[in-house]
This record gives sequence, C-alpha cells and structure tokens, in this order.
Amino acid sequence: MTEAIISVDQLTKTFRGKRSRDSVTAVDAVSIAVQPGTCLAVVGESGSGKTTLARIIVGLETADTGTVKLGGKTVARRANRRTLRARAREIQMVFQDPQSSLNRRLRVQVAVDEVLRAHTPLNAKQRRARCRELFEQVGLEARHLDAIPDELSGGQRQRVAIARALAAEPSIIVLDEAVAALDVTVQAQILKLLDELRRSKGLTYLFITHDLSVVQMIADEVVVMRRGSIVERGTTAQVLGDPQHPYTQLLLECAPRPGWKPKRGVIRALREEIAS
Amino acid sequence: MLDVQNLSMTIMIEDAAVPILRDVSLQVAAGESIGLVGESGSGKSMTLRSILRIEPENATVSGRITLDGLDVHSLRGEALRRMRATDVAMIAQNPHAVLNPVLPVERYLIEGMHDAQGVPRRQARLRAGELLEQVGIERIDLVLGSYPHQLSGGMLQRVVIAGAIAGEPKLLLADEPTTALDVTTQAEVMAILDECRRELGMAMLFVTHDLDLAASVCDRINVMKDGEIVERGVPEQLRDHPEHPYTRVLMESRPATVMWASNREAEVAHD
Repeated sequence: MTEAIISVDQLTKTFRGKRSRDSVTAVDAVSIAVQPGTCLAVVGESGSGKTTLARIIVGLETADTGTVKLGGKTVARRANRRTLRARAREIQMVFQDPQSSLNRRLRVQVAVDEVLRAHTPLNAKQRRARCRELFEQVGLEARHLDAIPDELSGGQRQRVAIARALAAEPSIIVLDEAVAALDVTVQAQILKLLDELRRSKGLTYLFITHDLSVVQMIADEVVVMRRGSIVERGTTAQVLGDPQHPYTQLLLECAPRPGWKPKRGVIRALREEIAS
Repeated sequence: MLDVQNLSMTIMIEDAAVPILRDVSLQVAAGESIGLVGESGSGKSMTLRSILRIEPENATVSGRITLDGLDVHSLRGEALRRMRATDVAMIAQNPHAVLNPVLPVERYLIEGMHDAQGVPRRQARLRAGELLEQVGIERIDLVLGSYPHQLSGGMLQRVVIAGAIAGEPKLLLADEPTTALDVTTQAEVMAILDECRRELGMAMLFVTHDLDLAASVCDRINVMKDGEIVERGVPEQLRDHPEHPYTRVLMESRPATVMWASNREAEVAHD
C-alpha cells in the first residue's frame, strides 16, 4: 500500500460553552487515512462532527489534540497566514452553498483569478487564458466568465466553485455537502463531473455528506460518523452492502428508495440497539 | 373533493409576464394521498399556494379550484378565513417559520383549536397532550412547555403536524415537510404523518422533490416540470414504466441505492 495522502490521527476538538455542560466534543479521537487518487466519503447526520473534521483538515479550525498529515508531512496544529497559504496549494475546499462562498458583486472569473494570482506565477494575460481553460474543464462556457453569481443557476455556480478549487492545482479537494443544495438531476451532473476530474487529474477527495445514495456514486471508501466518533468504516460496497453497526443500518433503512416505506417499528428497534 | 382545473399563473417580473403554471389540472378524492413531485422552479409549491389563495401579490391566476364544490377563488373575507382554518391544513418545510418563537408550543396548539374550532381553552389544553401522543412524542408536558428554539427540527415538525391534524381537516397540504430534517428523522416523521392521515381519513396533497419519498406515502403521483404536469400515475407505474423522458431522468439521477436494504428485502421476500 502506498502512503496515505491524508492521514489523521486521534483528532479531538471540543467546543467549550460558558458552562461545562454546554461543551460539545464535536470530533472525538477520530483517525482516518486516505490513499492518493481515491475518494473517502464521511457520512453523518447533523451534529455528527463531519464538517468540523473537514474544517480541521483544511486548516479552518484548530484541533485540541491529534495530528493531521497531508502528503506525508505533519501540518502545524495552529495555522498562520504563511502555513495556510502553503496548505491551500495542497488542499482546497468546495462548500455547500456557492451563493455564499462567491462574492455576489464580482464577476465569477474574479473568484478564480484571485486564486491564480495567489498561487501561480502567471501574468494577467496567462491568467485570463487559464480561467477560460478551467471553465471549460468544469463544463462552463466562455460567456459565463463575465457573469455575476446571480446570473447563474445553482449548478453553474457550483461549477465555478469547483473551477476555483482546481485553480490552485491542489492534490486534495474537500467537498463539504457540495451537491446537497442542488436538484437531483443537477446533482447527478456535478457528481459525474467530479468523478471525471478526479480520474483525469489524479485528485484525492474527502467527500462530506449526509446522503448515502450520493456516496455510492462517488466514493471508494466510507466512514460513518455519529456524535463525533467513527462508528463504521470500510469500502463503499462493504458499508452499503453489509453494514455491521446498527447506526449504519438505521441510516440505510431510512434512505428513501424505490418501493420503500418508512417503518416506525424497525426504526425504533434499531435506535434501541444503538442506545444499548 | 379537491378539483384543480386548468390552473395557470403568471408573475410580472420587470414588465415581463413570466409563466409559472400552465394548465395544471389535478383531482384529490376524499381520503386520498396525491403527490406533486418536481425540482426547484417546477411550480409544485405555487400550485399548493394557489389552493390556499396565498399566491404572490403580483401573480395573475386563471383556472378553477374547487373544494367540495366550493369555488376557492370566489371566497372572500370570513368565508376564505374559515376555509383556511377548518377545511385545509398546511405543513410547511420550516417549522420555525410557523411557530411563534416567543410562545411555548402549547400556545400554538391551543390557539389553533380555540380560534378555528371554538374549542374551550381548558379542553384544548387536554387535547394538545393527546395530539402530541399521537405524533409519537413521549415527554409531552416537557414539550408542551418548551419554546421552539429548545426543540429539534424533527420535534417541531411533529408539533406542526399535531396542529394540522387537530381540527381534522379534509385536506392536508404538505410542502416538503421533511426536507430540512435528517434522514432518520425524516423516516420517522413520514411514518407518523402517514399513520395520522390514514387513521383520520384525511386527504393529502404532498409536495416534494423526492420521487421515492412521494411513492412511499402517495396513491398517485404527478410529476411537474416548468409549471406543467408532464406525467401522472401510480408509483409502481412511474417506477417501472416511466413514459415522459423527464420522469426517466429523475429516476436515473438517483440510482437504486442502498444495496443492503434491497438485498435484505429480497431475502425477506425469498424466505
């Protein structure tokens, strides 16, 4: 086995409240390893700690204890401007809502250009050409370069966010619920694009989601999180096909599918098993 | 019971009339559950809003909506209020927008019953407890005295369902009632909604973007796209023989997932 490109060891993060009973351990001794060129899905419901884990890995949040290694190198727990800039070349993030991660008053190519200016030696003319190239790679047309976010659809905006992430030429992209806000038909298109980009560029994905049906379309491996801890991990086929933990079974039982009916009895039985 | 005939709607946006609904026709019989499935902008929520006459102010509406023979568009003032309060109940996506944040949730239930049906407050308070039991809430007194911000989304949506079924309306209008909930909570809330509706014999018009979710609780489903109903049928028919290309795209966008569950169901069927 080659060395993991993302290696997280015993990561813990507690958000402290005014009183000790208000404190929440969002991530509790979590370890993961992701091989280069693969996609690991982190699945969980709200409050599972999946987003906090992602934010620690990209450096938007500071862990209390534990280590994060990217490309074999341990990253500083407390990031500063310089280390974050270096980390951004290695790892980029795409968020759920491009409407709030893109500046509504700027043409969308400016968002991509900023990244090129920060992370590449290209001059203005070269950057324009590169923007055009990146837009093409994510399935946007040259006319979209001068649009503002409000003139684009949700799917197009998410394509801009992906182009922006690609601009830094990272080896890793963290996708935090990146398709959750999209209509299902658009979701399928964006997942296909992400999958193609991963294969053609050899990218590694950390795919944060609440949605198991999406996992099947993109991930090689899956970890399931609940209340800050990983309760199950394995290949996508193992976890979706033969789940061991009752919580994973509950998630699968509750996912709508053709012919599905919500069954209160089954849900209650699984909840009791999880509690015990 | 509900009959929507050739409903069309346009909205003026910057001097241009934008069509929102085109010739939407659908019927809901008493006790029946009908799905309205589509993506954003398909017009599914606007169809629902037209029934309650809460369409946007700058909308031009044509067509005919009747509820038990009564033309909804002819209703004014007190008659319209009565229709909204007693014949129909609506469950929206976001319970926080429905419940008053500065009042305990029991006030929402009690005022609803007192105002709409003239139930004396003391009696309404008792009934509120029964209703919460019906929607699967265990610590009833605790929940009744809680403010909305103290409860989870799933709990609040159950309170809203309790309020909706309190007056035993003929028709429930549900607009993406579980979209904001976690998937495990969604399954529980859907089961509760379905049980309550069946027990009380209420009809339901269920709006959602999720075809499989609609199929789980609906007798018939209408698929909407760009303001039109493009296909309608029973869930099995749409699943196995979708006719409109858009229905097919909708189905294929979410491949039959969750191998474990389907495997297990196959095993159960085999046994």
